[in-house]
Amino acid sequence: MKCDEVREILLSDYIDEEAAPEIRDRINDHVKGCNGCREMYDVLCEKVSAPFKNLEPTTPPFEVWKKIEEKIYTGREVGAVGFLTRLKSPFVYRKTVLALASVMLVVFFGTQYVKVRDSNLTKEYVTEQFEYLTSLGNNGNGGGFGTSIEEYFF
Amino acid sequence: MMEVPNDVIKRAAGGDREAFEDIYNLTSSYVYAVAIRVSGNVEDAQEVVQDVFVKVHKNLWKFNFESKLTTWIYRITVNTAVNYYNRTKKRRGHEIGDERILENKGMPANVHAKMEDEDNKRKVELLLQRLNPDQRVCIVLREIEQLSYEEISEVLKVNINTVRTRLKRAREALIKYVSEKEDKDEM
Repeated sequence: MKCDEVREILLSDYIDEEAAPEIRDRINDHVKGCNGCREMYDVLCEKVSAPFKNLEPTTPPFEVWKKIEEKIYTGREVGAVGFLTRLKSPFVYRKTVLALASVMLVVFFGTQYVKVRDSNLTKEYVTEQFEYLTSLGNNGNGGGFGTSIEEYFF
Repeated sequence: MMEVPNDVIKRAAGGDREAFEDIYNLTSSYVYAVAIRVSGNVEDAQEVVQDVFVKVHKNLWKFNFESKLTTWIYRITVNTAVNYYNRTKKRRGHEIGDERILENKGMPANVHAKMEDEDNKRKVELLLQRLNPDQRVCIVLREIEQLSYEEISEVLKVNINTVRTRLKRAREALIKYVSEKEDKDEM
């Protein structure tokens, strides 16, 4: 491998441990015998990469969370993350859909029950009326009102 | 980095305040770390952290679990920090001098470890100043946050070769800067 190729890999995949093992072996072999590449890699590790690795973890001051809370829960964002936004949440949305579906089912079965009940009432009414009209014709004189039309047909 | 459990995300998306606070507690330190390094100073970084979590809260219902929550938050952090940096660049001037960085410190001079830490932070800030925002973000995500190339490409929505090239160019620039600085100091 030539120095240019080796340095390209040293600056990226090698130092970041993304290079395949066989590539690493070839780079190691080259660096052992090449002062220029070894010096460049030493500078890269000690002067460029090490300061980042030695950084202490940091956490934001507590006031930052207080300000976020203010903005979210008491500031202008309240409306934006209020009912509508919460409604848009897939989890809240699912619950809302289930509730709506339940209400629709109740309404559907309710109307079906009323329809069936109404049709039974209608049948009863028609039967009653028919029986009443029939009973009018059975008043002991063989039925009918003794009109000329009845006499003509019967 | 600690991952946020799915049930916490679901509760926070449904408006649970405690769950959202849990998300903040689990992720704010890396949001802050990235924000400081990308935006360039502590005051701006705190503004960035606030913006990031207000955005996270507002858009959490859109999170679809196709990627990790941390990847999604990194993406919001990087975009917010870079936008903040670009917006405030004119105000701050194109180059922040070494003096400005020292002004931001205020460390107790009698604590040796603290001094070393502050000195190291200063080195990091000087190095990052030499990079453009794209290179800076890649270096921060790789060197400080220890993300893999694949994770960085997912956060930045660029392909892995772009990540590789940005890191390589950034390190070339940093080696050049360090070597020139050493030569100057020797003179």
